[in-house]
Amino acid sequence: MCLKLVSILASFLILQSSFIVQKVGRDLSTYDQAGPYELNNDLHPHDADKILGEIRGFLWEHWKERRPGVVKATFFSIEGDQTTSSFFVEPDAKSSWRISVESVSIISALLPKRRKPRREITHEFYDEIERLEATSENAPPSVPIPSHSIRQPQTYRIRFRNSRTNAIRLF
Amino acid sequence: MAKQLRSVLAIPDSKKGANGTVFIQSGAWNTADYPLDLLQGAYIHEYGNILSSRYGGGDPYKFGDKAGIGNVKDKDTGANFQKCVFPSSVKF
Repeated sequence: MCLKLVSILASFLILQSSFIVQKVGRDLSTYDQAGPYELNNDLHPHDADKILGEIRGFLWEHWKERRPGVVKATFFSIEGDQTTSSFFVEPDAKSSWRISVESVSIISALLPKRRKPRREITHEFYDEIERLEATSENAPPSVPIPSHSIRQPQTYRIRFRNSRTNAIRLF
Repeated sequence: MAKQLRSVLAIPDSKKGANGTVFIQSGAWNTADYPLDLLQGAYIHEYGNILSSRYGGGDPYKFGDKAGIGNVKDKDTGANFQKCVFPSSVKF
């Protein structure tokens, strides 16, 4: 009898804790997933552009259609330091849609010989997303593209903006 | 210097030669259709890092953007210098 009671109590606690984890974390089984991609310096820039276009297209389509999605990509600096980012298209706690970007960078290339590599983690949130005409000029892209127009992802850039902090990221 | 690196386009050596040296990956340099602006941007980037090392107390991050530039969040002086001098070549 006592053993039965303990097992019922234990199952209740396990169920409750898994419910809490699901509320706090992400249930990635409900997200469309793309990647992981790697944009290293050994790729020809045309191939890198193609991969960037795939990521851009995935993010834009999921944002426009309000579908949860995650894409993971690793970027390399000119010196070979790498940053791995996960881009989540998802609703926040208040059901407002956003793109959150979680990144881990390993900084090593320019540090003095005996220094250990440095690891940096960043979290960014963006709630205003728009497409801009890509430009090869030195001026940053600024001409918006209507959200209904169908375009190849290589012909535009995505501007992420946080309406509260005004932080902007071009992709 | 290139301890744990595996994919390098360019790297600086501020102490080699009279004014420092920029090394550029031969694979990229020798590819016929490799975009010239990316090679020029890489040279400018590493030139900025050499200037920072030589005139910023040996610190290539001294005049960098603390928030980081580009998808890779590059915080070195070279990224900031490249963005200032030749922004359209910043593709990293």
